[in-house]
Amino acid sequence: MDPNTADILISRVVDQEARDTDWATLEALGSHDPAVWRDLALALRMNQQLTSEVARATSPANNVSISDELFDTANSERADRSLADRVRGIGSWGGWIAAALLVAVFGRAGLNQSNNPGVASASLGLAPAEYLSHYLSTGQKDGTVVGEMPRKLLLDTTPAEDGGVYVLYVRQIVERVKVDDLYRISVDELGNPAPVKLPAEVRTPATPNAPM
Amino acid sequence: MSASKGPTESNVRQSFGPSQSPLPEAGADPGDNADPTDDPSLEDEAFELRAAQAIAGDEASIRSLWNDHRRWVAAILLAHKPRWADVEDLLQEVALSFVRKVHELRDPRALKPWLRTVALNAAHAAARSGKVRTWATGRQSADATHDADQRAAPDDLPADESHERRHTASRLMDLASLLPDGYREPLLLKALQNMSYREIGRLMGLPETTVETRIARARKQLRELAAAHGVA
Repeated sequence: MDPNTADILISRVVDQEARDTDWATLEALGSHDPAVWRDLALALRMNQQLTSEVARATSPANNVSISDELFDTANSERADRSLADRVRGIGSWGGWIAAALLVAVFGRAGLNQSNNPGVASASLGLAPAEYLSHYLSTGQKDGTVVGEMPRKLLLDTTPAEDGGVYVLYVRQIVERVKVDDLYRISVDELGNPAPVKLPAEVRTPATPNAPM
Repeated sequence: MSASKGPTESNVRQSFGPSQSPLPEAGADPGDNADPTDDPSLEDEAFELRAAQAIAGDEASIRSLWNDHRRWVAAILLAHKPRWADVEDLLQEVALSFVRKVHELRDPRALKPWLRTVALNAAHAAARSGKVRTWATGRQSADATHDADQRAAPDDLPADESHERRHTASRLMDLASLLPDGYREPLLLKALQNMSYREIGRLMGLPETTVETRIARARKQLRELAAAHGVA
């Protein structure tokens, strides 16, 4: 007889799955080898102990429910991921660059409306393109605008009713500002946003066309 | 998504599969060749309906499924977690993944194996990282309405269980951690007392006969370990 037979029969008895034929086979085995009964008794006893221990060890599960906060967290993350996927899925158009993003917090940047060359022209009565041109030229003169990146970032395209395509894109304008401190947004151990102060000298790309 | 089946599955099947076993399957009706998996029970259908609702985003279904299945998820974690990791913290991780990603499932029938895989990943990630996030919030009392597991709560343990007996049981659990993963998991699931070979087999992606054989082998090895360590 297969040496595993007794072990399987004992296990069936422990699990209350043994049928009459299993008991008959077990009795036949036990009549020749009393160790079968000893193993059966030990298996039953150990199963009782293991069952109570597993019940104890898994009982904390009753404390872990799905709270409203968990749904809120998951929904929020899902929304963020959806936006990120959408931006990622937009792809490039005409070789436009995908810019890496350095999130910086300008500590006491001193930015105000008088420093923004575009605001000063708000009442000039110009067309939007002229406003932008004025902003660029004025900013370049006072040093707050370095220039506009030659490539644009495609966000979305939509067919127009009367033919053609509406294109949603980002024009990338490089500005310069003097700040007292520079911070990078990181996350703490709980996942909350946390500013991390950067060293005074932050490495920048060597050429204007390199991804930021 | 399919669940992992364990590294020794093919070997075990080869050694202990139905063709090798001289015994009829446990609980099988002689002469009945029908495959029970072809005839899903009403319980299965109810589960699949609830799983489909959860996948569609129904929060009540997600909650009730979690409450009904968190106990065996805890057993999976118990079988695979590093010794120092806390089951409750790992369960929080699994619960969050469950809520986050259940909508990505395509087949409601795959929910249980998927949930097992999530639990395995949580346990293995804890082992790799050497730490588990401690959850300061979110531990709430179980919802008695949906809590089908209260019967196994600590309060329901035998009142006369002595300290020594508990100590022995604890040592037995320690010895169980020495068993191969593929044996320990079905053994602990079976010790929950509410899972059949068939249910465990579906969860682990194994035939019932393989599950039965693994549990029998686990019990034998545990007896040998207990004898060698003077336990029980």
